[in-house]
Amino acid sequence: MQHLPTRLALPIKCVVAADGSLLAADSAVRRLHFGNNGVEGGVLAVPGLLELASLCWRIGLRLERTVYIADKDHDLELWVEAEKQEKAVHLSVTGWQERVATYRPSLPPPQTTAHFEYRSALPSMHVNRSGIILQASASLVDTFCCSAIAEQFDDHFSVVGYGKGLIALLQQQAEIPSRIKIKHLPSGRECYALVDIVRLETGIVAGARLVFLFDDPAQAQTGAAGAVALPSHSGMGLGRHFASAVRQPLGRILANAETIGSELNGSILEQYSSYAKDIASAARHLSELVGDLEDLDAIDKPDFKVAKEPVELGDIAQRVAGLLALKAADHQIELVVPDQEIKGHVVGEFRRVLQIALNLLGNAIRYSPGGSKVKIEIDPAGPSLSVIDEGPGIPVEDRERVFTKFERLGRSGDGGSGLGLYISRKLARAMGGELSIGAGEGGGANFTLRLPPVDPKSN
Amino acid sequence: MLCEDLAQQLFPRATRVPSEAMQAAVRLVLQKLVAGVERGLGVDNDGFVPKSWDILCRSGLLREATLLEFALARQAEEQIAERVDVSGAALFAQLPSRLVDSSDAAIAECARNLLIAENAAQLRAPDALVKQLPADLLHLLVWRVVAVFQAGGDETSLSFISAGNQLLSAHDEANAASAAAAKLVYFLPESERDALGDPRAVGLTLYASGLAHEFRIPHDRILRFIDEEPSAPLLLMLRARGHDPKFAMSALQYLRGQRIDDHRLPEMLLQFEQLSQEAARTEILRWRLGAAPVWKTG
Repeated sequence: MQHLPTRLALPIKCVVAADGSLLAADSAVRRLHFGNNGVEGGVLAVPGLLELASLCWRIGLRLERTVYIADKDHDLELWVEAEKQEKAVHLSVTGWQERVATYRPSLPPPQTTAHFEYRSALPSMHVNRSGIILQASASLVDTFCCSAIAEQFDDHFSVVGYGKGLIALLQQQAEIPSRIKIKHLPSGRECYALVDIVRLETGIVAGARLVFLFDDPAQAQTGAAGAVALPSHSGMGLGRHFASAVRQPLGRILANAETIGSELNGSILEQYSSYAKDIASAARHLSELVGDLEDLDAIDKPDFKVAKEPVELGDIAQRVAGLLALKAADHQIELVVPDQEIKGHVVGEFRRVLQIALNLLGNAIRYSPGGSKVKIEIDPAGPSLSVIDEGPGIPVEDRERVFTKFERLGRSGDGGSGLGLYISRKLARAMGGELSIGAGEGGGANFTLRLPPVDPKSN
Repeated sequence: MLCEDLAQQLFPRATRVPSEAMQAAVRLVLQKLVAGVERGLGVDNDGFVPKSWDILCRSGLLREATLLEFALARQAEEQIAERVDVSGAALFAQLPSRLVDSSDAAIAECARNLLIAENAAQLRAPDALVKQLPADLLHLLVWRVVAVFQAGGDETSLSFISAGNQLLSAHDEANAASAAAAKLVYFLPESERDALGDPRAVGLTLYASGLAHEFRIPHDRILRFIDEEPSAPLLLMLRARGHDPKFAMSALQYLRGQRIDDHRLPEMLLQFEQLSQEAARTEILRWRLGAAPVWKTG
């Protein structure tokens, strides 16, 4: 490793605007910028510096960090101070170290001369040539409260000042300015977006990457922070008032009971520890019930929507098995999970599919006798995910009843609320799929979740 | 709390689910952080559990990988610090203590900041812990907590926003021990650089920073590697630095203390000798590439 004198007598300066464009820079930074296909006045083409500037702009705090840059035949390690001023971030490079390059990744050639990737804190969206939104940052989904993935961009947004939508511009390969103003149609909110046109090697437009810029950084923040306290289905009587009113005291009971039960604040008599664990268990059950009621409130609304994203059922199976492994072990139940090679590619909302699978597996563990097996199977052709247990099974005449609200089939005191399967089926249907029940080979229950397959033609 | 998907993100090569003890410890660190932020926001709370804790948990705070990593690192740091006894002459001999009156004013300032930060970090009080947060994590946490109180919709919600802004503007991440150590390592004179390889000579924070700088792996992750059970990650890093087996075993004993018994030591020594420096560096490169890519210009 090579260490050269690092401290610069005069710091190297550069100024980066809120949208990431390079406003001014000393020659050393300009060399890096242009060497990386950056353009005059364009977005700073030095990923590490841009990332630091973006972070500084977003959080508004002074930062001092090491920035790594691969520069031709060696690596650079810069010590950079970043400070947000009125309309830009001022970067000051006070240390400059050259190190022998230890790694050179074989990156594919850039798709356009101006194209480069960086891990940015700015929210972005990828739209293909047909105008379908392929991917969006989580904060964008929160900010616009929409589940627009896989839907038409023009159904949700318009380009201000253009008669045509973004798709028409993309399809005509028209000259699109690098910065456009877009309007979110449902809410009427407007913001700017940087457009990075992605071309194939043949020169044909493949789509675009939009980096969203909010005039007021707090706007994006509010969206994200708001989402913390108010889930997407909040604002309804139950979600906002009942759930939050109940959760606060409930959460406190749970936290205190867990703290006492785990003897974190000192040892206590064994029986008291056991009482505390019982309290925690009851509070956890109540908390799950509140969650179920909140879900119930949301899915019974006529405008309830789910996102459409590619989901892999094999991955879901592995995750739920991992999440409930301890619970299964507690019940002395052996979980049989499918091979990792078995895949089931479907379209649905990831967290909702996971929620359904957790409900099915949780039920199977709860109602199966100790020493039995619970199998999760994936049928790639379906595609479907099945949870098969060796419990007593459900009589044919009761099979549809289990999907009705608060139906417990006469059971009580086992921690169930009678809402899980009702919610799961509603969610499955909202995603264009179905949740059905049959009998397993040994007479146990066999719940099967089917979801629409991924269109092989889509990306 | 640490669901398997998150655990895989935080422990890419782990085969075990994090223990309950670790989860409890991480929860305590996070509770302290939230309590520290609440105190900074002027929330009146005499209880052990922060007021916003329940809602924060329900709204996904415990699934923030960056915060969990911070908490895990603090836990690892505490465990290592308990094993490493630095007092008396040993403390004075350590690099930050020696550099604090360096003739190079900038280096002296870096060393001073590091000593102050390390001492503050030892307090483990909520306020002190908050000061160890990188700016982006504090930003995340402050607005999460403010959002909880805002959701209450009372008239004081605006005052929380104002207090949040004040708390952020008063924060200087350069005062965090890891940041101070990173700066000292970056600007360390060539003559002192060799000492970075010896944990006894530089202290835990600076040692971890030296490894972080050399392998380009975040400081907090290095701390976790040092504390990781079994000790393969630390052995790999020692091998990658080119240490001889004798020095490596002594560093291992120093950092991991009684956790290595006499029966395991010979076996570890054998494995260490069989591992080439090149193979160790390649493995560490894989860890790094999992965390941050390096981009090539032009």
